[in-house]
Amino acid sequence: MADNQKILARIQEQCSGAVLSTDTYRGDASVVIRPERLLEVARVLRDDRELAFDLLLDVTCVDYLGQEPRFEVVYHFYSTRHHHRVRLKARVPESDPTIDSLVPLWVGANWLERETYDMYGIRFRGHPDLRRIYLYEEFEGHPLRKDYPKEKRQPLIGPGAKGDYKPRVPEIPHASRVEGMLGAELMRVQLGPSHPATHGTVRIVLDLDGETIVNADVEIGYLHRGFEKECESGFYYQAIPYTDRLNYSSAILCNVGYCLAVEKLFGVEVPLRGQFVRVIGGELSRIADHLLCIGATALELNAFTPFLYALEARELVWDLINALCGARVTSNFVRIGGVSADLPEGFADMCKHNFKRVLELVADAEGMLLENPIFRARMEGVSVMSAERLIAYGVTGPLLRAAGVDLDLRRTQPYLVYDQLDFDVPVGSQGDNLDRFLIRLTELRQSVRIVEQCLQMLPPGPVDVDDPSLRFPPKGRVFTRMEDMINQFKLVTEGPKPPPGEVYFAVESANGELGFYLVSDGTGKPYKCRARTPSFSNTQPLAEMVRGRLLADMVPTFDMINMIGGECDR
Amino acid sequence: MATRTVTVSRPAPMAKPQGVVRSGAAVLKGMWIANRHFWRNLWGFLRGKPTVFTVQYPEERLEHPPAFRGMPVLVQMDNGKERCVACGLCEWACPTDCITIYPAETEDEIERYPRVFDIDMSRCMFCGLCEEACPEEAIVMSHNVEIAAFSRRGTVWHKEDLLVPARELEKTRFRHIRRTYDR
Repeated sequence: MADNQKILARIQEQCSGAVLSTDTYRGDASVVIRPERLLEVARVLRDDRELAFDLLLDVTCVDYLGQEPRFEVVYHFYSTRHHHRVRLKARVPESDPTIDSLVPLWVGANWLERETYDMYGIRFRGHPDLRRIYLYEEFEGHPLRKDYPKEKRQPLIGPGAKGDYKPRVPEIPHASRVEGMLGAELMRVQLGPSHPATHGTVRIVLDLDGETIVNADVEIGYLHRGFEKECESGFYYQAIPYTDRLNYSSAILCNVGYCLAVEKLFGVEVPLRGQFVRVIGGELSRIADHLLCIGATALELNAFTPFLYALEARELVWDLINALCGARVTSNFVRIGGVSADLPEGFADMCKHNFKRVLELVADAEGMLLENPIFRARMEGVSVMSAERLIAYGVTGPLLRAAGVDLDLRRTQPYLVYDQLDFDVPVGSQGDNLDRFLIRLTELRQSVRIVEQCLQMLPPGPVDVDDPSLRFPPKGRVFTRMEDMINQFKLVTEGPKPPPGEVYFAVESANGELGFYLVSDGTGKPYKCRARTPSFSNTQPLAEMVRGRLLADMVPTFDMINMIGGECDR
Repeated sequence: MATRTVTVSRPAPMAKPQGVVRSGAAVLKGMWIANRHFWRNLWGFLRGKPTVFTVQYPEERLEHPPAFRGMPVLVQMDNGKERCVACGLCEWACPTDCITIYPAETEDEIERYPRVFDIDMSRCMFCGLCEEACPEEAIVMSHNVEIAAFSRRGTVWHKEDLLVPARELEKTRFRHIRRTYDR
């Protein structure tokens, strides 16, 4: 049941009276429903056999200032069984921005709704723990509302401010302060925000009974910098450097995701060579990301030597990325309608040379770890979570594949040229940390294969679309032709102007589904630019994964989740 | 489509009797791998072709590829003047608003020039959008990244500091961007 019309007809048939309108734009099916019947519609979406939308990808809101009802709460669903998508929208008025919470149906809606509350002030009825997630309690206003000025200053909270400063100890929502097994009070341990075993700034408050974790509360938001607000206040092309900072260990994948979403809004496709170059860049990024994850895991389990090998290998991959786009981390490589530059001379030879050493180093790191009894004891059978539970949390990527779900967007909805390439999608059998680790190792080698194939198959031709409404004209023409000079001036000062509409586009990033939801109002700036980032959804089940396990299991589990602060906190 | 789904093969579980033997073997294997790296590096050092990956930074420097994006600089023509005509496109394109331009006019052949051209390097993120927007090849990314300053005021670079003769850039950034001119 992949056809959008069929999906929409089915929804209308199953929830008669709840659906206000349906719409298909650029291949995205969306449904506007009555807000009071959200729970009912959502239940149908999840439980209906033909729809089976079991994965709640994203909850967000769009502020249509000046319209009534003002707020549109937007949900994105995906079906892991049928591999189709739908967008659900419900309008709520400014006077009473309340809508039912989806937590009873999807446990993963918890953080997503907290974020929407934090950013837009939408109140979710029935939410178990509706408090701010990124910002602090004393923050005034909701920053993503359109009437919140970007320059607004907030009162200073903390030492030096007026009044007494009291550090906030989060009240753990679950049963706390129960008598431990030894008859003693539980011990509260703060892991982070800056801890050597958490690569990423995150605070985890743990209640321990002896060494057993009774409760865990994950507090994120230390790296929040207003990515969406920043995107909305600049032209479409100005947001590309910011997407580098989402997942800074695989920046090109974020570039690719964003640019593909904008191109979907325009309805254009880049030339074949450009697509191949994007795949090469993206897969190099994926290798770098997995290498960091593998190395850091080894490091945090006290195996320092494999960490050095993995980082040396990553350095070699970064050399390739550096030659490709001029920076190792902040690549800023992909452009709307193309890439910033074609492959440099001799790139294929460089790849061949560096990959040889990368694979040697990975084999060395693997050889040191996989048979090592300490490493095995801390990875094997640790933090197992069933596939159903992971899906309820909205988890995607290597974490979900480790639980045996064969979901890789590069294959289920091939974008760019992935349908022409030959690669394996690894899945796990037990869903423990070892499976997650092995999946990353396998994917890394598959990515090397993909890059090698791309370099062989690379067709000649241009890498950019020749369309001055979205891509800067070639400089050689800007210097010599008046027409192109004018186009250059217009595009820089007004931005590319896609037709009004809204799209969602997702790519398979190193940690799962990275989606961009863009709303265009026809101007050069996105009206709404939402990033559905995998790290955010993947970090949420951490508390449940480690509950009942030892404190030492926290570290490998957190490593395998591979939370990237920039992506989680945006 | 030739993709396959493969189940990753897990190493055999460590059962008690063989597990002890395998653990011992694993320790020996780890030592063998580390030793191999050590001897490789030592051999490279003795041959005068170091294989150690670390670069002793201030004394030893890596050569950047032509595509490398360091700080943005202004191109200086042979007559000592800047090529910039103060059109302000880089100012528009800059996502962080780190460029400040005040234009002025002269009697020269190129009649417009920037009276003030400041770049706040503490805000600049080296994204290169200014270079891409420039219709004159007047602002380009150099290979210089050593821009530390002792004060906030010191991080603002003025026109005089930013000017770099065009011939110095020929080998570095020009080589890269001129490739893209007629893409």
